[in-house]
Amino acid sequence: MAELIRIRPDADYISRVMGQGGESLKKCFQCATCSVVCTLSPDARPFPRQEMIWAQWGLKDQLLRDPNLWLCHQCTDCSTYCPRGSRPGDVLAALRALTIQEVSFPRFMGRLLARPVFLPLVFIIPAVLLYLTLLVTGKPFYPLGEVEFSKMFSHLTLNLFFPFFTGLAALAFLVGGLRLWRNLSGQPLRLGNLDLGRLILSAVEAIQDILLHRKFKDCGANRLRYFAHLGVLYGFIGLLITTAVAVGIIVVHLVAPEVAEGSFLLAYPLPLTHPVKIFGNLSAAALLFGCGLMVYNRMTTEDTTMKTGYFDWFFLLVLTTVALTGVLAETMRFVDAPEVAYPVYFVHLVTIFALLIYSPYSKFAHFFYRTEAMVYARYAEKGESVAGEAVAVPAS
Amino acid sequence: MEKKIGVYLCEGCGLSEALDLVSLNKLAMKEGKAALCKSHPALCGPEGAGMIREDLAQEGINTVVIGACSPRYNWEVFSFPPEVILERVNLREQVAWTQEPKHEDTQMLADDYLRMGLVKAKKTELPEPHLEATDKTILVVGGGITGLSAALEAADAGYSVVLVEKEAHLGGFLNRLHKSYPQKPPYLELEAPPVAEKVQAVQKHSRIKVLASALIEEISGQPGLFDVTVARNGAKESFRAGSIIMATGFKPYDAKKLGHLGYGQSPNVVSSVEVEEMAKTGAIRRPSDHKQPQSVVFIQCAGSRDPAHLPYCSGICCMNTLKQAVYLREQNPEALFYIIYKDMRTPAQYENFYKQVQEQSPRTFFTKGEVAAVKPAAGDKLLVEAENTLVGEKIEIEADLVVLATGLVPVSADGPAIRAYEDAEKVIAKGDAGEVQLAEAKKKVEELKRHQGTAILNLTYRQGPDLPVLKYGFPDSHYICFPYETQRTGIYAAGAMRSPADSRACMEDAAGAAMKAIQCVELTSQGRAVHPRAGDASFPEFFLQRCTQCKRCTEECPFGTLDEDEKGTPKPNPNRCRRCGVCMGACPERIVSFANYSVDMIGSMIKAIEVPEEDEEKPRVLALICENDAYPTVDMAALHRLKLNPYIRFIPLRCLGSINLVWIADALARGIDGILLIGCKYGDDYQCHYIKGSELANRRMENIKETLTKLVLESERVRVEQLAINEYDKLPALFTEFMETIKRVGPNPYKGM
Repeated sequence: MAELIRIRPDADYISRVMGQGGESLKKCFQCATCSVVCTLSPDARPFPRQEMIWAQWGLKDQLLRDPNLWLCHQCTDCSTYCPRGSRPGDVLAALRALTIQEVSFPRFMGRLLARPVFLPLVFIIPAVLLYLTLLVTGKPFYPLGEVEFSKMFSHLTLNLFFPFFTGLAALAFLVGGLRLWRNLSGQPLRLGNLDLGRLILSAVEAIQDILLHRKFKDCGANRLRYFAHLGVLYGFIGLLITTAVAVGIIVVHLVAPEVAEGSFLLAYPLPLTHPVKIFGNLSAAALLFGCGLMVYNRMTTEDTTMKTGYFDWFFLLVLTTVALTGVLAETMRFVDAPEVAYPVYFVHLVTIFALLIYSPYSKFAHFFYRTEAMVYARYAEKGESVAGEAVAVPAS
Repeated sequence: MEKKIGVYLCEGCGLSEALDLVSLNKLAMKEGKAALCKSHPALCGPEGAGMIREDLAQEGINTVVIGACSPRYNWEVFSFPPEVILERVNLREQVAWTQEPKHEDTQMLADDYLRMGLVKAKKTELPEPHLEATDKTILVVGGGITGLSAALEAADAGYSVVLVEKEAHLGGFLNRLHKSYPQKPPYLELEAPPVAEKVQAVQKHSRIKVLASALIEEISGQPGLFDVTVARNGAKESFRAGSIIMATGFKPYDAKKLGHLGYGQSPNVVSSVEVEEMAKTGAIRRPSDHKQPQSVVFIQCAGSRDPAHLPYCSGICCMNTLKQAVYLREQNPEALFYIIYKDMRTPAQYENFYKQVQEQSPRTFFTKGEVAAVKPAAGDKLLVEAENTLVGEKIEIEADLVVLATGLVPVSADGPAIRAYEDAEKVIAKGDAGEVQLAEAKKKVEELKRHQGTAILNLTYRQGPDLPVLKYGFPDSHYICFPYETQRTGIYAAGAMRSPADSRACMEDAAGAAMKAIQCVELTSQGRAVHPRAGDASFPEFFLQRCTQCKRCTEECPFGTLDEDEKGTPKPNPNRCRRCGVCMGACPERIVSFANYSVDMIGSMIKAIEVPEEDEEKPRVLALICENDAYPTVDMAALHRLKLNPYIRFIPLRCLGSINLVWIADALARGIDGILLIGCKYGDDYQCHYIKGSELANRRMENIKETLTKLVLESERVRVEQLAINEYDKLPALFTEFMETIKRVGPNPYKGM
């Protein structure tokens, strides 16, 4: 027997969804074309038709515990075929954005990042912090001689500065992740309640799906997004690896300079022919290619299919700027143009800061929460098939 | 009239390739005693048709038999002056296109058809139209949007109109509306109900006479000659009318029957009509405390599309609810509105309004679902429980006000009950009934008391004072092919009493019904049939000396054409007749006939079929087929070049209901091996042009069985089939199967006797 749901529409939530890019929400008349054309929609619990009406009715509780939101890759198949122009793809994106805000820690940060009025503030904070760091460490904005970025911010400074703020972001993700799990499963995450084997298996499968872009590949209407996202994902991972290796080499230089002495592989800055450098540059190229494709795609896609809002643009443009300034700073370093190199490097650091520190609140957060939700969805599904009954989605 | 027959055979369309036309020519001249017989490569061309016309003028031909295509084609080419008798023999569809070319059986088939055609031409008399001085005034019953529009349409076309309205004011139900939902492009704005200007126009029109506060006392007579008596302000008024438009509209479904949806349980459950009244007189308030509701649940299809109440869709409730949601939103934008529907039905461009209400009202929530219960809750509130919704399997909504969107019931729905009541009263009044009958009549009177005096038209017809109705209580006679027509010739239904309709549809309906009413007065004035055999000047003639007063014809006529005198002798009203011949089929004494359609004529055609000897192994089957559906079906099979069995002879009938048993007996006595009767589909969704012709034929099968027993023949030899007009593809299998049955039963032992 199905449980009796007491309907209490949250009118404020409806207007927030509509304000977050889901303004076409109310056009939906529940024909379910979207769920039929969606290649990602699971047969047992199809989406996004159900999510559309929950959102129309302002049933926030139903939506918060719905992992389906995160199974959508916004390929826009549904929006393309929607006979009413209600753009389910955009509505689901808006619901994800609101979920990010909902689980974000601290909560005000979520609201801050979602609103364009705070945009200047969002960049002023890291710029001021970095500038203060310069003042505190007594480094010049335009160091003399051959371009070497460590003359501006020393390795030690950066290795203290970024890990500290990245750590804050990680903490925010941890809290947000726990909140999301609680929302999805209806109960707080307790290790004792978890079936670890099932969880690990679910995680492995979900990560496989993500790395292979299996789901993305199934989307038909907007093929470009598959290639673009693939470029961005692998470019970004590649650059993360490059950065990690570079940090490792720097640590070697700081701790045991004699080991590094004369070694080609441990040389710093990495020479252009260094395999890791080559790998890094290729990754940067992939990232740039992906970003470029995404910007192009968002600019050329009709508003009736996919509308790009502030939330999307913010993340995409910050990411693109990181890639562009990184490549430009590197180039300026090689051609030794300090008057361009240092300011560009400064901007590069500001945007990296913005990218990382704000990641739990910007669209960037999807890499974490989507992974978590995909793991949860598999975990719950496996649990359901084990138990042979309805998945534990308790009443709100 | 001395008949001089000219036979014309066409050589085109494959006829000369399939048939020996020279042999047919000889048959026509020798056996048929035609004055002349000619063939032409393309009879339907100007030269071919010209040849016939020349013979009419020069050779004195007055009866033309054309052996060519189906009479359903080229009828405009082969139309001759009214004094010429025309018979078309269908050699193309029924022979050339469905049979082996140049085969012996094919030629025999063509020979038989020509023989039958010649006999029919000889037996046909020119009908003399029934002419009487008729009146062309059109009576419109009902002064709502439909009646007003119909009156204006007819009057603007130049006809005098009398409009009778029960209430003191014109306007009908629309007077009770606060606003109408959008009726014109772009279908977004609420409008004033479109009735005020119509009322003005009607009142100003010089050809319209309005009788308000009036009830119809009696209508007697027939189309062109209706005698109408109206009671008004205690006085009686009589006048004559030619045809009648019935526009008496609907009644809202009685919400008191919807207790399961909370009506009557709480004052805060109201019908959509009550909401409309509140809106018209001020704000929409909760009846229990007169506060404006903060949360309203609309329950769509309240008692509609529900087998326990109204099984049909009333067509207007979805749009009406959207409109009332707009009233409420304008009254209180903060309130929440829920609409629980079975399906939102906002056809065509009404969809624009639905879209707009959805988009402009973030606080209006739609879901499909079934309401399981409406329960009272604390604070005069209500809890609406719904199942199988799009939101969740089982949901519960708290509401201040619940609105039941109730459907439409046509005022004609009570017609059969009224007749049953009056018939029972007559039995009691007459006093010569048996005890059982009397008791039954008394019970009926008690049971149906509330219908006493509620008849609207008060027709003096033998078959009851109001219109007979079909499924759902609507008084149509053939919804798809003949909208507006009722089972009473000359009386046309329009608007919400014809089918569920909103004001826009009612206005359209009014125009259609007015056209029909005009067609009726015009054709009736010429003594011709109105429909479906429009223009037919024949009418049934009764040889009353032989009548046994069995009342079969007066009861079975689908159109109430025949009244009765005290003894039960039929009193024909030719203008009410549709010329179907059901009376001819009903009469055991065979005293009913038409000039161009009679028991003798069809009987003679059957006798014209040559029945080969048993040892030739060529069985013969007679197929009596309905001219409206089955005949075109054979033509369609031919168009698709389907091969049909060569041993079957088709004879078209006006209606399967006109079958007379003597034809069957005669055919079997002549050695015909089997008989197929192919009529239209019958039942609730019948397709018969005459309501119940094929059903009657089926009923008469009982008597046919008796005939077979008398002749000591197997009952499988006669079969009744129902065929829809689009089922041409079923014909070959149907015939093959029947021929196998005949083969199994063996040849008719009466052959050669």
